[in-house]
Amino acid sequence: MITEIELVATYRQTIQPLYAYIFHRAGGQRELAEDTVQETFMRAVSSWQEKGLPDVPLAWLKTVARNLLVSHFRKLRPEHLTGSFPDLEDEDWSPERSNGVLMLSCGMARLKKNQALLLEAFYFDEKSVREIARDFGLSERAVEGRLRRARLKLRRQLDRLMAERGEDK
Amino acid sequence: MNEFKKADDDFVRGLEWQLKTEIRRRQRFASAKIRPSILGVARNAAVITLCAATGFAAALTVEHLENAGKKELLKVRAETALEIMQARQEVVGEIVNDISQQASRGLVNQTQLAEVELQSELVGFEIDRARLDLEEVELTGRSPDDKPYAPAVGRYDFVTARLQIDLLAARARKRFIEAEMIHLRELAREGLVEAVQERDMELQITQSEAQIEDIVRRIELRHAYLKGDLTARQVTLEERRSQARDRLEAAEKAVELVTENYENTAAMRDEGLVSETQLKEVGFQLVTARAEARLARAELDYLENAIRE
Repeated sequence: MITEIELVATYRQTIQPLYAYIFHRAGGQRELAEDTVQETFMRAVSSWQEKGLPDVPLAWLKTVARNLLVSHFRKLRPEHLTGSFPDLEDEDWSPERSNGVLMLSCGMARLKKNQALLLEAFYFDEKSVREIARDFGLSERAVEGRLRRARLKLRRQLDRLMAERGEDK
Repeated sequence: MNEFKKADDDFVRGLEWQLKTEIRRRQRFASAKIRPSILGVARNAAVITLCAATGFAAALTVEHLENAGKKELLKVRAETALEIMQARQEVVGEIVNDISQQASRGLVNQTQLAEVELQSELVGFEIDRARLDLEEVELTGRSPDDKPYAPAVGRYDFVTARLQIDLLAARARKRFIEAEMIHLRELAREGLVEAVQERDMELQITQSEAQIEDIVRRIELRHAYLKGDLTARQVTLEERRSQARDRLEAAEKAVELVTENYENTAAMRDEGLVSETQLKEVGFQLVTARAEARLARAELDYLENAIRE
């Protein structure tokens, strides 16, 4: 059971960090980001009303929002995809400056969750290998290895998407 | 693209309105379902009786009633705590007046006066804290939550507000000890007190500084959590690590001071100024201080490993 005061307090505290978290993952599409955030909070009202406020509301919201987006991107047909092929080898790649964020989100949605989470941390949250290692409880070497393998899988997914869209990268 | 990473103000306001409406609607139409049954009320009454009979009344009954949604009792408890503090403040205020008059006639020393003045100041901080607790209970209907990852309530961040009061109280204690230290040094220069007392005071200053640093760090961690920079687990581990660091620092300082004390006492024993038993007593303090430092080091190592993992 959550009170209106608690809900509003939690909302005001989490809305901006949640939006920032979602924005790049939504391929930089404002409308999609807003829809996802709105749906996430509506689900929160329903769940928190019944089960109470989770220990870490922002983590709960991020998980739900991410699942909603993954589900959206998995359903999205390749021919409806716009944007270019992201250059995964570009060391200066950044969701702020580079093209292909939408393609990247679609590709990641088709990966296994563990691989997608690593790549999201690297590309969207722009975390260093050291930070990822700390967050995921892995050694830096293990993170580098997993990132390399995840990038390979992502590349295959992106190639497939481009092929389905009817063009080469 | 950065400005787009921030949710539009209209969108934020609109969604807030939608959520408020939604929760009100749900609460209004779901209220019949969540009304406690007669059986539930009887169960609560049984728990109160059982707890009272077994001597756990204070903690258990309140906790059970809280879970059962008896917010009123929590409010009464917070109000009572505040009233007790206010009554205590009146008493302490009268004691301060008495001691102050006695000090002006030279019947008690300045240290005794400073001590009761500090007590009066600390009771004032406790009242501020009790007021915040009451406010939080009124707003949330729950026990005050001091966890660093507790959500803010409305526009209020009770956790930080309480920490800021704790900080003021810790600084007041430190000021008192520092003033005492100056006084003690004057007495030591005149040979009226032993150097040991001065060193004890130094140790107390170190401990109060560590306490202040700890509160400041907890405030910083709280801000980092509210900004979303740290998760609840990270905040908890960081908090425990900083406390462990402070404990280690204080323990190492204690070892240093007690070692010096031990050496001085040994020299005095050699000159026949103190007995062997007195030296053994200081020796025991040294063993304890070293053991505490080892324990603090082990605890810090453990937490640092946990954070790395």
